[in-house]
Amino acid sequence: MSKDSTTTDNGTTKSTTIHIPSITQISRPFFSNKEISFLHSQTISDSLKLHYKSTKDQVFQLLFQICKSMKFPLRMLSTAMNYYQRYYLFNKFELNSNDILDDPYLISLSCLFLASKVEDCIKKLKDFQQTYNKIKNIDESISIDNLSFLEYQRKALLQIECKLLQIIKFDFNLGNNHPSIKMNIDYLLIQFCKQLKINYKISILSWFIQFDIIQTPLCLVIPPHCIAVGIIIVALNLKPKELHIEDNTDDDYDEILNSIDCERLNCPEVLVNESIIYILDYYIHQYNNSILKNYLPEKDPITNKDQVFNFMNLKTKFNDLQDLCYQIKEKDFIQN
Amino acid sequence: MSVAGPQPTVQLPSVSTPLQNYSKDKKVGEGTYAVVYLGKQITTKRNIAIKEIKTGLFKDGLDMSAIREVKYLQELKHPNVIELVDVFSTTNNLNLVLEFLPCDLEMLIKDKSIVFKSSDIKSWLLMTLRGVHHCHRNFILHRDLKPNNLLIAPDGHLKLADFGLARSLGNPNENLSSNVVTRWYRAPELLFGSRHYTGAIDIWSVGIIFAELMLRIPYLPGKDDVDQIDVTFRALGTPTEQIWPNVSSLPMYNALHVYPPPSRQELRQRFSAATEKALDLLILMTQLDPKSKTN
Repeated sequence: MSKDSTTTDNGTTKSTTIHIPSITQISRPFFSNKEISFLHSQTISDSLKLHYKSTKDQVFQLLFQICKSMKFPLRMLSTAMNYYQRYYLFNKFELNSNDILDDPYLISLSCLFLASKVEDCIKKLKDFQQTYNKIKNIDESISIDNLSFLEYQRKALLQIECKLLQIIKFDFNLGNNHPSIKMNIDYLLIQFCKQLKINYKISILSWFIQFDIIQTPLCLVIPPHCIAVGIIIVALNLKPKELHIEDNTDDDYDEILNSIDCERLNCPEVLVNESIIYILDYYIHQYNNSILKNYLPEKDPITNKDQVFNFMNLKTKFNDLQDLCYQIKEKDFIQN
Repeated sequence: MSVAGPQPTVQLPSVSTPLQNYSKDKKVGEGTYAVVYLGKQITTKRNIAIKEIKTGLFKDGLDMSAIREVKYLQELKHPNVIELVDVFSTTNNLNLVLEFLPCDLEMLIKDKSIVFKSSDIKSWLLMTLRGVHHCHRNFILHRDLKPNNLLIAPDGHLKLADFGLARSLGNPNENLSSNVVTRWYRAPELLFGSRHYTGAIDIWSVGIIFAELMLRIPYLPGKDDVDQIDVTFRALGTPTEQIWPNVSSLPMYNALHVYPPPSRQELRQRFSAATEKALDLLILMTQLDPKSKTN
């Protein structure tokens, strides 16, 4: 167990003696992009970068299946995804390790389990294990180190949970000091759409975008309410004429767009803009792998071009915004 | 365990060393999931209580109530809510550093050598309600209000404690558990097994605590869950469709003995020392229909 104590305090990996070093850590719910790339450079070796990405997609797919089969709400999934990505800011990503504690899938299950507690949807750990083993086709009847497989797995999961708690620094609200601001984008998104009197079509489009975006590390950079507003702005700008949804009310989207007041929604505009740029970049590069793709027609019915061009056009439109943000940021930077 | 990866030390403000920062002097209590110690914050000599939670002990990892307690106390800062000073972990344990509050309302109620003046009861009630109001305006239900959880600071301030059952009022579609609140302080909608409820359940508990402060004995001491229903309605009348529309559709509303609601005179006799205004407040806080409870 002495090794355990080394992981309890980030930054003190050396000492394993009786004297347990302890360092006060302040919860860091958000990181800058620069910090994330630095941390990743420490934990994910260059040769594994692509594997990290593809493993993440598979892991999230698995989590989604577990949530679906155990009937958990979406907010639990997004919390688990947040934890999983946070985990790999501070722990080495290993693919072919023999240690069960390095298994990304098991780590993700532990994230989901912790998320279930934090989101008040608690179920027994055994249920999680059984669903997981069933989906992954794992034989539960074997025994390892004189322990039944479930017991062995349980021990590993709890050890990972312990690590996770250190990583989130026991901050179960991740940056939301005001409890009425729910940390989950899907909840906020619905509230904002309702407030802004946005019709069903745009609301569901935002919701699909949200489903893509919760899988990205954006949630480690920008607070959820700002992402939610960013998503809504992107959705309104897309003005989809044809969506695989029955709703023919076409409101004046520009009017709604003009009525969005970031200040009133307590979202700093810089952060909203950053999330918009991120979302557009995401679709420009990942559109073909996205969930949104399944719901939009292949070609835009008006321009008759691939949908991805819409995102590119929007990006040029928002580039001015971006310049503006950089100016502001630079100013902040100098002042600080 | 294999190497946990290089742990970047950048950007994390490291200030002090929690283990050496607090002393654990005396064990004062042991709960279901934690041991409580008295101690001191070394740098400031401030008295504190350390709640040591054994994380490794449980089949399902860190206990849900510990998570709730940390989660909600991090958010709530108020003169009438216990302060969470710090959280730190050692190899096997999670430690919550809490404000040191030496006394609770239950101790006072039981100590018959202490005479309660009406001003005492008034100020305790007011402080309780301020704390509850702070929780409710942050959309958090306490769900376990009882004299034992109302702690009193050396300077007389009353503070809500034990947020192990608290939860936030989130999505209206979500089912909540009706098996909350210590039995004697459980509101009628919970007794009927309602899966949706509001801050009214906390107000009910405060009403029953108010009655207990006047009586100096528990007001509705049910022996078990079934008896609790009987005791509650014998004292306050059985709810009917007339005073509480749709009550009969709640899951456990059946086979009830119908008691008439108590007359004002009966309440006056039961609470002989209460003023008319005190009775008004008590009646308002113990309305059977959660919708008509005052807030």
